[in-house]
Amino acid sequence: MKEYQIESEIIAYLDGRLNDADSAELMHRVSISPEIRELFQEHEALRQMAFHASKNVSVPAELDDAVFANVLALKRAEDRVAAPVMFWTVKRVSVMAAAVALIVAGTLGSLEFGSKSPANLAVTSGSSNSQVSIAQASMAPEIHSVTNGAPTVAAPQFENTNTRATQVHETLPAAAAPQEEVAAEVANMPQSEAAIAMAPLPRSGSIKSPNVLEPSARSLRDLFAADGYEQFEVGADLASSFVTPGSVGNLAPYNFRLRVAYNFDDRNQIGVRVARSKFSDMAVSMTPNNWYSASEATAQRMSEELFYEHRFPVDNGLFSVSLGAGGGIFDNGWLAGPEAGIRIPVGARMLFGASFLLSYVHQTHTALDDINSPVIYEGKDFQNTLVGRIEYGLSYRF
Amino acid sequence: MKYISNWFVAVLATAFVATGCSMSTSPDTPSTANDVRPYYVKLATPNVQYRYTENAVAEYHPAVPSELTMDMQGVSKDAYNGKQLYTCMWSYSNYGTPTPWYYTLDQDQAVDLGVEEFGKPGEYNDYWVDLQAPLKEGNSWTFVSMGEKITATITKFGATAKVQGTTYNDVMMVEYNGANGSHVIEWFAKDKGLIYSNYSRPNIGSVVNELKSIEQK
Repeated sequence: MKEYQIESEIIAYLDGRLNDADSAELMHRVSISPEIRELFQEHEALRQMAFHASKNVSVPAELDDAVFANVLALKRAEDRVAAPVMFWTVKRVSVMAAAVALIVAGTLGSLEFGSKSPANLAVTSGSSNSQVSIAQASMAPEIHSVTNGAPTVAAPQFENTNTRATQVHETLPAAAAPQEEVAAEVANMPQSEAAIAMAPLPRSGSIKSPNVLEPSARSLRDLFAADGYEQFEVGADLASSFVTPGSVGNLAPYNFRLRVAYNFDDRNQIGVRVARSKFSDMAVSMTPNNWYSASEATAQRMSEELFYEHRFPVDNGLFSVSLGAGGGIFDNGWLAGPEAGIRIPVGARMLFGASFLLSYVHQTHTALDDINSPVIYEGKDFQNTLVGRIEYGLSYRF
Repeated sequence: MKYISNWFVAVLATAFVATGCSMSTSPDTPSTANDVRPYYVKLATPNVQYRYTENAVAEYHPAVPSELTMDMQGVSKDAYNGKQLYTCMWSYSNYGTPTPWYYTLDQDQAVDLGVEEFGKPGEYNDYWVDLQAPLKEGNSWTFVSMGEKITATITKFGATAKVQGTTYNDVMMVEYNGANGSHVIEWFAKDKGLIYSNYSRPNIGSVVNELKSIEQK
C-alpha cells in the first residue's frame, strides 16, 4: 500500500500534477531512500523510453498499405467464414464430440443427426492464415495518451468492429496512402496527441479497430459482446422423445422444434417455440364381434410453448450448461416442465445445443374419451402423462 | 447472484424429480382377487336395477333393439347344490313378460342358472359359470352349458372400459369358447358387475348387451 502510494506520487510528479510542496517532499524522499530513488528512476526511464519510441517511429507507406490491406482481407474472410480463427481447439472438439456421442447413443443410433452435425460444418470452417494477420494487426501501439509531454502506458484496449467505419475505410483507395491526409489530421490534433501519434493512428481515429483483434468468440459472453448486443436468438432442433404411457419404450426420433428467444443478457433468455412431439395416445382396433380393443400408442401433436433459459458458463465459456423451464398448450391440453442442456459456441453467432426436456402433460380429454364404445383398454385410462424430449440443433444470435 | 443461481439449480432439480415422480408406475389394481362377488351383479341387494341395451338375433329375445332390465330380488328361499340361490327379474322393454332368472353366488363362483324348467321346480335350463376365483389374468376354468363344454379364460384384468359413454376402471374381461363353436365375451367391472356381454352360440344366436345404468329403486 505504501509502495503504491509513492508510485502514484512519482507518476503524478512525472505528469506534472504535484504542487511545489509535494514535489519537494517527493524529491527529498527520493534523495534519502535508495528504494524510492530506484523506483523513481524506473518510472522516469520508462516514460522517456515510451516518449522516444513514439517520437521516432515512422511507418513507410508500403507497410501502412499492407497492414490495412490485410485488415480488409481479414474482414472479408471473416464475413465468408462463420467460425473465427482457432476456434476448434482440441478441448472444444472434445466437448462437441462428447455431446454428439451422447445424442447418438440417446437416440439409439438414429442416423438423422449425421448429415446435419455442426461438427461437420466446423471442420471446414477453420482458417489458419488469419493467425498471421492477427499478429500483424496486433502491432497497434499501446501508448495512447500523453499529458504534459510525458507519455503514459496504458493497458491494451481492443475496440469492437464498427461496420460503418470499416465501410468508410473500404471506400478509400488502397494505393493512395494518404500521407497528406494523415499530416492534416495530425496537424489538427492537440499537440500532446500529435507528439506520439504513429502513422496508422490517425486512421484509427476515424476507423475503429476491426474485430480481428478479438480473434475468437470463445464463449457465450464473447458472442454476446462480439458485435454489439445480440438480443435475439432463433433456432431449430431435431428431437427424440419418449412418452409414458406410450407404445414406444425407447426414444422415437424425427420430431422438431423451432425457437425464437429474447436475450436479457448473455445468460438469460425467454422465448417461444413451436414443437412437434409425441404424446401418449391410444390405438384402437375393432374385433370381429364389433367391440373395440385399445392399446397404448403415441400421436404426433404440435405444441406452442413459452420457455425461460439460464446459462451457466463452464471453463471460461467453452460451453454452457443451460437450465430452464417451459410449457405451453397443445390441441388437447397443456404441458410444462423443467429442462436442462448444454450450449456450445460453434461460430461467431452460432450455438450448438442439446437439451433434455421433461414435461408433465395434462390432457383435457382422457385417452378413452374420444374412442367409440364399447372399448376395453388393458390398463388405466390416462389424462396425465409424461413426455421426455432430447432436442439438439443450432441457434443463431443476432 | 451466486445464491440465486444455486437456488435456481435446486428448484430445477426438484422440478425434474417432481415431474418424473408425478407419474406413478405402480398399479392401483391388485393383479389378482380371490372373491368374485365384487365383480358380479348385486344379486344380494333387492331392488337394484341394471339396465342394458340389447341387440339380439336369437330365440327368446326381441328381434329389434331393446332395453333389458334386471331387477334384483335378493336371496331366494331355495338352494342349488348346497349353494345359496338368488333371483333376478328380467324384463324387456318391447318383448315378452318379466321372467325370473336364477343364480348361485359365493366367494368362489358366480353361476347363471337361467330360468326354471317348465314343470320341474328346482331344475334350471343352464349352468354358465360367469366367474370363478382366483380372478387373475390367464386364469381359466371349464364347465358344461347346455351340453357344450365351455372353457373360460380371464384375458384382461385391471383394465379400463368404456360402455355407453361411461368409463369403468378395474375391469376384467373373460372369454368363453365352446367345443361346439360358442364364443362369448363378458366384461365385469369391480363394484359394478356385468357391463358388457357379447354372446354368440350356435344353437341360440347372438346377443349383445351394454350397461346403461345401475339404480337402486
